[in-house]
Amino acid sequence: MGESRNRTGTAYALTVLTAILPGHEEKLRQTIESLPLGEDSPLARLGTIHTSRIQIVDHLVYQGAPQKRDQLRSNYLVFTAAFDGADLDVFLASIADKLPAAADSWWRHCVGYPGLKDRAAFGHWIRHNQLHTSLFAVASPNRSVSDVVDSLALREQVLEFAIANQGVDAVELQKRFRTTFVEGI
Amino acid sequence: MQKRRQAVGSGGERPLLQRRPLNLPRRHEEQSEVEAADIQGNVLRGYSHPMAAYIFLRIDDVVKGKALIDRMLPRITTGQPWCDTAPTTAIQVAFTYAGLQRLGVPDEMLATFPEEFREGMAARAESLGDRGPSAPEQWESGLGTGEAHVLVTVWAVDNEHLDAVREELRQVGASAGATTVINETRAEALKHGRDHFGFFDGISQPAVEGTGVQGRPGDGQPNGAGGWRDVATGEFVLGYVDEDGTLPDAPAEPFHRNGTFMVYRKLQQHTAAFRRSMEEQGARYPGGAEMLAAKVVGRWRDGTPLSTSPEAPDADVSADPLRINDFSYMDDPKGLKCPMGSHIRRCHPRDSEGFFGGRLTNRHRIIRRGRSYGPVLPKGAADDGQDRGLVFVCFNTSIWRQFETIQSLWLDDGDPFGVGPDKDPLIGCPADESGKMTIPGKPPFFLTPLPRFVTLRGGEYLFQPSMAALRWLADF
Repeated sequence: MGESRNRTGTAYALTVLTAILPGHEEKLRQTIESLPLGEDSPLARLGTIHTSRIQIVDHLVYQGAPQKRDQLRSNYLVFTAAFDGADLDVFLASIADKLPAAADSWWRHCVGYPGLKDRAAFGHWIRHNQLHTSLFAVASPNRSVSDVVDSLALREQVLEFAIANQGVDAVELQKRFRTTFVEGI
Repeated sequence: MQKRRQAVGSGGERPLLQRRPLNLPRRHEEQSEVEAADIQGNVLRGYSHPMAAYIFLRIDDVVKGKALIDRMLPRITTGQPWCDTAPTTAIQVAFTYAGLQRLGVPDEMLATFPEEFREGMAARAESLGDRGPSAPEQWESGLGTGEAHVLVTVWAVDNEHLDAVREELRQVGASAGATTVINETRAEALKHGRDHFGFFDGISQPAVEGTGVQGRPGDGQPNGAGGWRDVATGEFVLGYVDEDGTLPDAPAEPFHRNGTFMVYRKLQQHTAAFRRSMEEQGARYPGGAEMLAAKVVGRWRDGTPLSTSPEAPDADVSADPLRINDFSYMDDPKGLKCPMGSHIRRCHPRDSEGFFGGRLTNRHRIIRRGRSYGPVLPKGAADDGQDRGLVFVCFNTSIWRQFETIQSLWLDDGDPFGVGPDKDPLIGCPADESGKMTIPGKPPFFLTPLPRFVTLRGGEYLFQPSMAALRWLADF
C-alpha cells in the first residue's frame, strides 16, 4: 500500500537515503564528481530514467528566512531516480545487470551495502533505506522516456516547418503540412 | 534637505553634472542603516558623472603598490552622502584574485574567497556563453590572463577633470615603477540615458533595504500583496542579512564586511547589425520594425514596458518614475505582451510563471552600474567599424548565485522560459549561426536568423573591499 506513494502515472520515483561510512565521504564525493553526465552517464544505459540524482547531504538547511542549519550525526548519500514502470525489483535488477561497476562505485561507501551479487540482499537493503517520495520531478508522468524523446523530435520538426513556412497563405500552408506530416509518414 | 545640483564656488564656473532624466529623478533619501562611510561609493548609489575611465593595473612592485593604495585612500569615494553637491570626480578601487595574490594576502585568507572569484571570468567562459568571438582568446590584451590586478574606476564631470586624475594616477603609478596600465576604457554616458541600440537604459535597479534610498514601484521584489518590498542589504553588501535571513557567506576578516563582488564586462554593441536586422525582419513582422525591436528588449525605446503598454509606447508611463518600472508578468503567462524570451524578462523574470511569485528571483538580483563607451552611430549611417558598446558593471555578494545564474541559466539557456535552445536575443551568444527568438502571438513570429548583436571584449571578476579592508591592504 505504501508503494503507491512512490508512483505517479506510469512512473515510479525511488528515493534512497543511506548513511556514509565514517571517513569515506571524500572518496565518495570524488566518485560522484567524476561521473559522466548526460548521454555518457551510466544511468543513461537504462533508457527508462526520466531524472536521477546522486548527492551527498551534510547539512540540512531550511531555505527561507530565517535560515536554519542542522548538523547531522552522519552524512548521507541520497539516490533518487524516476523511471518508467511500476516494479522496483525490475528496476533494481536492471541496475545490477547494466551498471554494476557504477552502482558499486557509489554505494560501497555506505553503511551495510551488501553488494549486487546477492540480488535479494541488495533489494532488501534498498527497501530498508527507502523513503517514500513525496515530491515528483517527472514532467510527463504518463509518457515513457522514449515517448518523450520522440515527442521532442516531433516538436523540433514542427518548429522547423513553422519557421520554413512563415507567412505562407492558408491553402498553401495546408498543402505543405500534408506533404510534410501526413504523406511523409 | 534641499539638494543643489550646481555649486557656485569661489573657483568660478563649476561644470554641471549630467542632468538626470526627468523620469528618473534622484531617489528620495532617508537616514541610512548601513555603514555608508565604510562602503565604496558607487555600490549603493549610481553616479550621474557622464565621464568614466576603467583602468586595469598590473602591480609591478608590491611594496610600492601598497604605498600607492595608501596614497590613494583619501581620494577614494565612500558611500557617505555628499553634503552639498556631487564632487567633480569620484574614484573606486577593486581587485582581482590575482591582484590579492600579488599583494601577498596569505593563502589561508585567499582560500576563504569563493571558487568562481578565484577561478576568474575567463575560466568560466563556456558556462557563461562567452563563445566564438566572445571567447577569452579573442579578448583585448590584459584581460582574462591573470595580468590584471587592480581596477581603478574614475568618474568625472568632464574630460578635463578625468584627464587630471588620470595624469595623477600615471605619475604616482608609473614613475615610481609601482604599476603599469594594461587595459583602459574611456566611457561616456550617451544623451537622454540611451544605449547604443537607442533604448532608454538603466531603469530597473533593485531597491535595497536599509540604504536610506526610497525604491520605486517595481524596483524591489513582489510583496505578495500586489506591491513591492525592498531587497535585503546582504544580497549586495557583505556583512548584512540577506534574503535567506542570514549573513551571506563571506571571505575572512577584514574582507567580511562592507565589501562586495564586482563583475566587469566590456560589451561591444553591433549597432548597425541590430538596426539592419530590425528593419529587414520588421518588414515581415506584422507589428513593424519598432514593435519588433520592443519585443526583443521587452520595452519600447523610451522605456515604456511592453507589459504595461503592449501596443505602443506611452509617454505618460515612461515619463512617470512611479510607473516606468511598475509591472508584473503574472497576467501574461504566455508572453503575448512581453515575450518570455525578451531581454528584460530573461534578465529579471520577476513573478513570471514558474518563478513562484518572485520567490525564485529574489536571490538573483544585481546592482548594475554600467556606462556606454564609443561614439554614437548617427541614425541611418552605414556601419563605420567603430568600437562602441557598454561597460557592464554589477555588484553582488555572490557572483555565482547572482550574476552567473542570470548569465548562464537565464540568458544562455532558454529552458527556464520554455523557449528551448533560444538565447537572449539582445546580448546572448546565438545557439547556432542562424539564432532564433520566438515571439508569441496568433500566429507566433519566429525571428530568425538572429545574428549576434553583442561581443564580449573582455572581463574580470573583482572584489571591491570596504574602506577598512583597503586600509588593511595598504598596511599589512
